Amino acid sequence: MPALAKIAVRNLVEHKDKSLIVGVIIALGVMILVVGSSLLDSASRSLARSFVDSYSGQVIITAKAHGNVTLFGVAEMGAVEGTPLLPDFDKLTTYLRSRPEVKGFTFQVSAAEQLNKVGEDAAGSGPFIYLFGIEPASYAAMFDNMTLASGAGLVPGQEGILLSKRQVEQFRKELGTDLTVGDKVLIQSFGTAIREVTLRGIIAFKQRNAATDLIAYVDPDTVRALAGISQDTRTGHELDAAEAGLLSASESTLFAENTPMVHASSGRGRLPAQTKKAAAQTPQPASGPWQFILVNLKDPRGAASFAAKTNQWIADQGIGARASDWRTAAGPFAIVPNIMRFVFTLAILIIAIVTVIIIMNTLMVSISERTGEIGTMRALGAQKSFVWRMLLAETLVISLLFGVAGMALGSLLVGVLNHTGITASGPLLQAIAGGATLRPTIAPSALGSSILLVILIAIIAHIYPVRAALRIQPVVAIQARSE
Amino acid sequence: MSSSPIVELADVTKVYLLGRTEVPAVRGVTFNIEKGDFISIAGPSGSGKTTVLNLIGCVDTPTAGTVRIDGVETGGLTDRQITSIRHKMIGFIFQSFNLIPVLNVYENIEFPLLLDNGRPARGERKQWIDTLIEEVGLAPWRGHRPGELSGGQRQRVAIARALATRPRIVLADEPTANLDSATGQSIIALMKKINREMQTTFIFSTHDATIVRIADHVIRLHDGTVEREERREGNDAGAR
Repeated sequence: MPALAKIAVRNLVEHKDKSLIVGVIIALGVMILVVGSSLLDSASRSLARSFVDSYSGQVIITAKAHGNVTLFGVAEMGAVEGTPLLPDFDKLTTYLRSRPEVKGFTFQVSAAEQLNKVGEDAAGSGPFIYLFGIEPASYAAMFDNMTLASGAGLVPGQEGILLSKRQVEQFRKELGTDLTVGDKVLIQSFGTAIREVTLRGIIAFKQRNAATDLIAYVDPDTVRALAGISQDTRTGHELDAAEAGLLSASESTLFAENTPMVHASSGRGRLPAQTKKAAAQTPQPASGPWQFILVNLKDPRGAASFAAKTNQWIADQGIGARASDWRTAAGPFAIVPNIMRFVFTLAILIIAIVTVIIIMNTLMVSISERTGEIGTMRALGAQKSFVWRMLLAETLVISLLFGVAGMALGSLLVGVLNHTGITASGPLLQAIAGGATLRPTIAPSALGSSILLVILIAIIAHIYPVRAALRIQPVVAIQARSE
Repeated sequence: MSSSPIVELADVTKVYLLGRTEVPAVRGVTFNIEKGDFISIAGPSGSGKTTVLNLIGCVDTPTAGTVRIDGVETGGLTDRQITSIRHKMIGFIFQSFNLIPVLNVYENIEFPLLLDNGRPARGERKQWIDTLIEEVGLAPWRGHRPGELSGGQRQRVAIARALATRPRIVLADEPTANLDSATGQSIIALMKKINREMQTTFIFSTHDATIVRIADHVIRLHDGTVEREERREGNDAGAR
């Protein structure tokens, strides 16, 4: 064993109590880092998977806006901005069809509205909900997270809404009335528009997450009507007399009429066969304006490069659109893990600072006790660099030894949590966990960052004590009265 | 043997600051020490013995005057150069032994050799350390740590360690002060034996008249000045 390492290890063994105090603190800090990072990474991955698989695809194309255009509205500080419609929709879909990386894509419009049941007080306090107006065929091909519990799926060209079991339950709790397939549901927008749609089916989800019960799926025309989106996307359109008349029409004329009822007689537990079949092919051009194109790639790892490539093409074409990843699409739901990571990083920083202070303090005491020894080494011809390396070796040995112990303990704990699983019961916990059940796995980055953090702590902690040690003159060896 | 002295002190003064008060420890000391000398710097407490040893050992610098070690003036050298001189030319024996507590006898003696980037090679190093251990009579204790040794044994380890780098000079500050008189005598005898065998210059400070008697050359200090110098050619007192 090299002399430095030998002296370092023996000094640590010689001063067991101090070594143990410092070591336990390092091990605990590293364990917290490993477990915390693994939990956060697993939650982030779970949330990403959940969003990509359920709502956004790997890449989302939206119109440009001042804020980030998310599936839940435009996120902009201090301003209210409606979700803009996608310009040059045909050009965009033609481009996507030509790209070999694209596995499939679908279209969506969305709005946040309040639900009520027909026959109830429309001003009542029904649940607020995000309406995802979808093109059913291609949507079903891309996202297979939902299954039908009862009723039928949405059919192109037909009004209708799909609610989850929990939403129906929530509806019953809030309005005290049961909602069954075939019932008419009133959707009231935050403006004045009210729309009546038929509950076509009740759905269940294979995997739940924080957004699951906040979203209902409807036909796109309903969303367009509620959001005041014109079917004609021309700009600068002059209203003819009939259209102008609508502006002064009474509220009742805004209600949808003759909404046909379709009862599903088959297909319970799965989407209609014709829907799946249509979706397996290249998406057909969808009528009406859309706010989002959701894209699935053959290789999910290529999302960032595909988004960049698409943005370049969009810029070259002069289209006012933008391609982003799931984080942009998830909007507020992607913020929760970021906040958690920020809080966790802050906690780790505080632990690291405390650890540095404790190691520094312990080293200072150790150096003051070893003044004679260090002075003797200097008198015998040890250069200052030797003393520096000796103290650094001691700090690194204790840090790495207990750091590895902390990593092992942390990995063990993550393994246990993976085995048992962590159940997130409420929406907040689900938002943090990225789903209903979190099974954390060891994040390799957590192990790597633990090693780096431990080395960094050791280096920072030894700087001041080493400066003190290097000030020790060899003459103190002559004055030393101890061994 | 060259005629130039191994140690030269010329009009050396050392003043320490005690708060705002200047305390002169050594005042205008001048003397030379020849190669292979076995010399005692004697004097009562506060006479400046330790200060003179510190100046010769390059662990302190003079306030005025010059100190030359083997012809090299130590004033104005960098810390690295001074440390290198200490390592290559000077061996230290301390009053309180100053062994490294976590190293055993063999490792303590080996320590100064490890500071020289692996020179000499491992085999040669081991042979030399074994010789030194034999020389100081500690073969049965080579694996023991300082805490397991008596005072006399520890000082023997310190002597072997001081000789490890084959220095030109060995400095010993009151080497017998923490030992009983019989052990002290045997330590001085061992030093004299090595002095004779290896022609290493031994410079030791003491206030013990019995020990002073064994020296070939005595410089007596009083109040920071040289009171008297005595030379005793061919003094075999204490040698074994």
